Amino acid sequence: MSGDESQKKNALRDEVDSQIEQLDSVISDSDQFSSDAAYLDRLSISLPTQIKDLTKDTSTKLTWMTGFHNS
Amino acid sequence: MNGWVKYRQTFLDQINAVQLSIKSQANPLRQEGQNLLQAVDHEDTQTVEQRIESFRDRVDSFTSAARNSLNGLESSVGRLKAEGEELEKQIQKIGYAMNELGLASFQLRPGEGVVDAQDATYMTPQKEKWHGTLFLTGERMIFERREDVALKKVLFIATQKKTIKEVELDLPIGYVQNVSKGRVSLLAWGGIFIDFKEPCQVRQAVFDVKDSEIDEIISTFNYIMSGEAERDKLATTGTPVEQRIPKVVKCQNCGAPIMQEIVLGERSVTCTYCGTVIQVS
Repeated sequence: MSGDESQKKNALRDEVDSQIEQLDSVISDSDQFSSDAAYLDRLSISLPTQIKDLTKDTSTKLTWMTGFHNS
Repeated sequence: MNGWVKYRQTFLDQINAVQLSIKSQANPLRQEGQNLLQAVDHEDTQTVEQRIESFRDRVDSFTSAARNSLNGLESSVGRLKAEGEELEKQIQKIGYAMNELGLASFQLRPGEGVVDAQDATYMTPQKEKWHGTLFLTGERMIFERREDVALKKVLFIATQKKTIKEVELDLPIGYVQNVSKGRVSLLAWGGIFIDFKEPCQVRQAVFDVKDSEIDEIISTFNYIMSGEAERDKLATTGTPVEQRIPKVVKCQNCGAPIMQEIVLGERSVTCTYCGTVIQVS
């Protein structure tokens, strides 16, 4: 195989590798949303309890900001 | 978070649909790419080049469409995530404030609520540095000095200590004219400058605080001073606005008019004619 031919093949391999990386990046970014959903699920369970604990006197900034009122 | 609870199932359905669509198209394309890598070594370069060109066009077209779908999801979830992160941050801060308040040497007035508490160093006009906690309530700014005093020393080393807490500044928030950031000394870079308006006896208070907290503290001052905190509180507790606005305009003792502005956080004024202290809320 000539030097030119070898160089050409390397360039083609790089091109294909770059396209595969592009695909992997899209797959990885779409998987990220599962983590986001898990994070929000965790917050939706833990935050109301924490907020209620902190807003028993209904007088903190948190109470005012969130509208939680543990009367 | 209520938004998330309502939106959760729709969002999960959207995620599943987008992920399924992306993987069902990306995986065959990925396999095709692996086959092309093999083909580069074993097949005619020109033929493979043409196949790679077609492959690249399809990958570009696919990723562009996939990115659009992902951006759509991101805009849906971005706001919820930001809201959740902000709430987590506020919970930590309020937890700290409530804890500090529980250990403080003073008490809040009836109906008064703590908004923020920050570890701060008060740079006094006499060039002293007092460490302590800066409390912001819906009505006042209070600086409580904290000092460790040695009760017993052995060979100049304190073996028994006691922490003394004392309120050094206790001012109605309505006296605050302006809060800005700036350099507080040669060694301590970041801090806040609080300017007060008349008739406040203190003209300015300077605090050395953590650089990362400066903008947040200024924003909290503005939150209270603008009346937003009061509006949020009223909206939550349901207390009518009219009942909280002081209506005292005459001295109860001599009947003289009270000309002095009654600012947010002031619960009493002194009659300039007879000296009677009048409760205004």
